[in-house]
Amino acid sequence: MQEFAVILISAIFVNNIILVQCIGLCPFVGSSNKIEIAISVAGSTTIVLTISAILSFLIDRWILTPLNIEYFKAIFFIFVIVVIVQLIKMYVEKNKPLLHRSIGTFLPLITTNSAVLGVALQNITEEHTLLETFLYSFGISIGFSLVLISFSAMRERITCADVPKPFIGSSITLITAGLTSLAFMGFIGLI
Amino acid sequence: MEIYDIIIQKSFYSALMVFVSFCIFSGMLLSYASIKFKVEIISAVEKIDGLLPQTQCGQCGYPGCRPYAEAIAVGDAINKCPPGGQITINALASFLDMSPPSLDNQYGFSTDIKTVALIREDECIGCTKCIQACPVDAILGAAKQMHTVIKKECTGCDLCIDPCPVDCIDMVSVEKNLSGYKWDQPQSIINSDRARDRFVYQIERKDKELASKSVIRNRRLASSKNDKMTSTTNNLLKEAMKQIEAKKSTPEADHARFLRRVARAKDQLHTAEKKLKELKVLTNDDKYKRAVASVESARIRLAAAQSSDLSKLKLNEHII
Repeated sequence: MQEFAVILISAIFVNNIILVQCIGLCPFVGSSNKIEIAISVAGSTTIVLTISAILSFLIDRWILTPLNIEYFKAIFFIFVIVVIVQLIKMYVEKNKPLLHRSIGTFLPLITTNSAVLGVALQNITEEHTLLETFLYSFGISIGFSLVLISFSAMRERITCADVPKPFIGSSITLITAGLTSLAFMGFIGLI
Repeated sequence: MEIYDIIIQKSFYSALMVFVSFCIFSGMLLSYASIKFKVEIISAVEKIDGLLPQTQCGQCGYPGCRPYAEAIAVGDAINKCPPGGQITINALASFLDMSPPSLDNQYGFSTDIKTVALIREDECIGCTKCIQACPVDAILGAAKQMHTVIKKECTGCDLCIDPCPVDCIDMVSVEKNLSGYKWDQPQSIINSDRARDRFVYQIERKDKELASKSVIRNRRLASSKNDKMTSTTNNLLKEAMKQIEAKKSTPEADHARFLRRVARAKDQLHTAEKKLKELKVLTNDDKYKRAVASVESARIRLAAAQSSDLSKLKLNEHII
């Protein structure tokens, strides 16, 4: 039981996908202007990331490893992610129109989110079991949501703040991201 | 077997095969899903609905913005929306590619002042009628409890004013301050998604409630058919009846009833005599005869009551 807690906490804080591993920076910078958008992106990423990581794991375990073609996994996983995103988009559009209105626009963008592929590949290289895969990918997506939402709240305040002229725009965003990243480095001693 | 060995040993072939079969499989899956989860293409109705202000006030004569959008799509006039005002009409006109008419004042006047409903809470009796009338579920309260309006969600549609039996709802204008600040007209029309969502939720909720009510009713009917229930209620009734009978037959109760009957008979006699005195002048009138007869019968009844003989009383009444 303790192992699982360790995996979850390390995935959320210590190995935070954005600020420590520096994967998935595109949505982090691109969609953190507004907190509503950030929440939508975080929610859709959480769903897609967890499901696709588990399915990728299963495909690796049942198809790729027996046939000895693990080197193929990157392309396969991209394929899996694309299919899953499409399926989820169709399902949400049909059955949850209100949810679709909030996250529907961002679902296709997740296809190109490197964090989703990154987590799927990490699960294989770190030789997780199925439960660990689930915990790790869920923790990663929680960490992603946490950082994305809190950072978007920060950016909403930054737009109102009196920023020196050379730093206005994406430069202050990146500086803030770097400082937050430094702060997250402090979690390394946690486990 | 040879082919199988080749596939296993030369991983390139197996990779190719797996990939191709995976492509075919997922292609089939996606095409099946696209049929199963097919969504109607966003129609003109949705776009028109998007332009309407979503107050759900029904001033246009339709029960909400969506029905009016449907009516516009089949050719209704676009100038029936007072809350939207000229801005909505212009937007609709540009979408439908026609010259914008001015607002039809038959349906109401547009004002720039945004109002919300406010319940005078001291006077509210908790009848829940306004809650049922609210199209966006912006009124909070329960039966016999004080209600209140959620100011943020109120669209200012006036629909709760009419049903209120004690007239305790006012429309008050919203003063602009930092909390609850909204941009002026064009922006606020775009930001009406929330009211639309709440309208949809409200309709869903009412459907659900109706369904659950019918379930409860069916359950109750089923249970009332149940013999056990009816037999126990019958037994209770019988016991109650027995108790009443027992009370009736006691001598004290008999005496009390006798006194009451005498008093009533005396009262009747008194009123009859009074009437007779008033009619004394007209001797040969029908009314006079009737009054005399009623006095007579009242006297007989009084005598019967005083003798406290039930059978005699009945007999007397029969004679009269």
